[in-house]
Amino acid sequence: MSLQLGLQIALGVIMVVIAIIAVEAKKIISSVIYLSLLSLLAVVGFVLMSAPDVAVTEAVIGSGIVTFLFVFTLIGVNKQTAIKEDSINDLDVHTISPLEGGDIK
Amino acid sequence: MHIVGIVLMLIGVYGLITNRHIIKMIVSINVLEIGLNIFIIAVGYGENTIAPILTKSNINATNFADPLPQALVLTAIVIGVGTTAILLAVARKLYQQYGTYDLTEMEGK
Amino acid sequence: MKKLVAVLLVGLMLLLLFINMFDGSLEFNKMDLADVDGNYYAKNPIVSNMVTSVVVDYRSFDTLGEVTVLFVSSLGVAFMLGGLTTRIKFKHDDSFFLRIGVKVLFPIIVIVGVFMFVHGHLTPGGGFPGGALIGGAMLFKYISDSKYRAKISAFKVLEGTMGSIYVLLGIVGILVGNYFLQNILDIGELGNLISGGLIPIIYVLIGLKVGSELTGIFDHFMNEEV
Repeated sequence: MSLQLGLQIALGVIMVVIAIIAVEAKKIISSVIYLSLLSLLAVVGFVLMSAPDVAVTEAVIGSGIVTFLFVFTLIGVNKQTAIKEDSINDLDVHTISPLEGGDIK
Repeated sequence: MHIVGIVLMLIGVYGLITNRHIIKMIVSINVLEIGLNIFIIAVGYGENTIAPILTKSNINATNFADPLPQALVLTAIVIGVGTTAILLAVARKLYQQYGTYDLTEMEGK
Repeated sequence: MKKLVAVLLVGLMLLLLFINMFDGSLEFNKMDLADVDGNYYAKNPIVSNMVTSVVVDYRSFDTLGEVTVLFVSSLGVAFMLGGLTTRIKFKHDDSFFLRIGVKVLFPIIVIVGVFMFVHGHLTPGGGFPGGALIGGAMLFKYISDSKYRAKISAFKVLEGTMGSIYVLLGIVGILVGNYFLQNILDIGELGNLISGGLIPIIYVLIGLKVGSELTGIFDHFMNEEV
């Protein structure tokens, strides 16, 4: 079982690094995508810890639905920003979509 | 994997303390939640345990992983998506009111 | 400054943890919860997936509460974002290939979801991921077609009906048997598709309820302010 132990240690190190990147990233959208990646690695961890039920649930919900909710929060807000810029000029907001490299203040 | 779970939880706490951006705080809460789930699953897992599903070949085995923490985490993940959805809805509502996601800028207005 | 304090705080917690771990007062590996009654769930099997037997039989009341939490959160999202009525417009036009691909994939994903919650007592999976897959199939429809709106009122009726049937099954357990949500039907042979008494029925109810709740949440998140 030493192979499994080695896999767990390697997975753990990668997960910790990705979690730090997700918390510390400058761009919001990359933070969200690293969170999705962390979720996917957690699925591998659950399979290694012999919990297939939890792994299936985390794969569907953690890395699919939660990412959708975050991304569409950002997209919806970006549209509202563009509308607000017409009425209030001194807001100084970005209008580039976060998916195209811009960022939301 | 216990240590990984605890370290992920602590990273989540660190992100909650340092970030002032609402979306990044919600991301931190999600990191904390993943760490908590991994920790609870690791408590029920010992070395050489197998998945708690009875088949013809392992009907007499005694080294099953504990199904109770797995059941708890199964429901906790689904509750997690519910809380994330409601947090993001609150964040969008705040954005409509203040025009920003940053808590420091929000206090200035 | 704040970052330094946070790093110090988190590092202190980590240090305390490691000290406790190496002098032996925290031994997580020795904490075998299954030994409370010596592999109890494996010796008294109800269905072959033990996690399912815990979720839907031994702790069915917890699952009812959990489904209620999800219902309340979908109500909260509807309360927060209910004023928004127009769909989010994407910057690009609808892709023909995406639309046709989703048309092909949609029934396959729904069938996989239904398979997952019908076979929840035999294989990994169950009502929660099955319902989430059905919600994800609806999400694909939303993304591929910018004018698509699901019939949210029908989903609300479905969700309410499924929740009511769950509670009614619990009350039938009191009337016929002894306690709330008792498994009153015949358990049958281990490993058959029709076995486990109420467990497959309740998992189908949970799957449909979770799927319709998630579809409601998605519909609210796809809206924007005019």
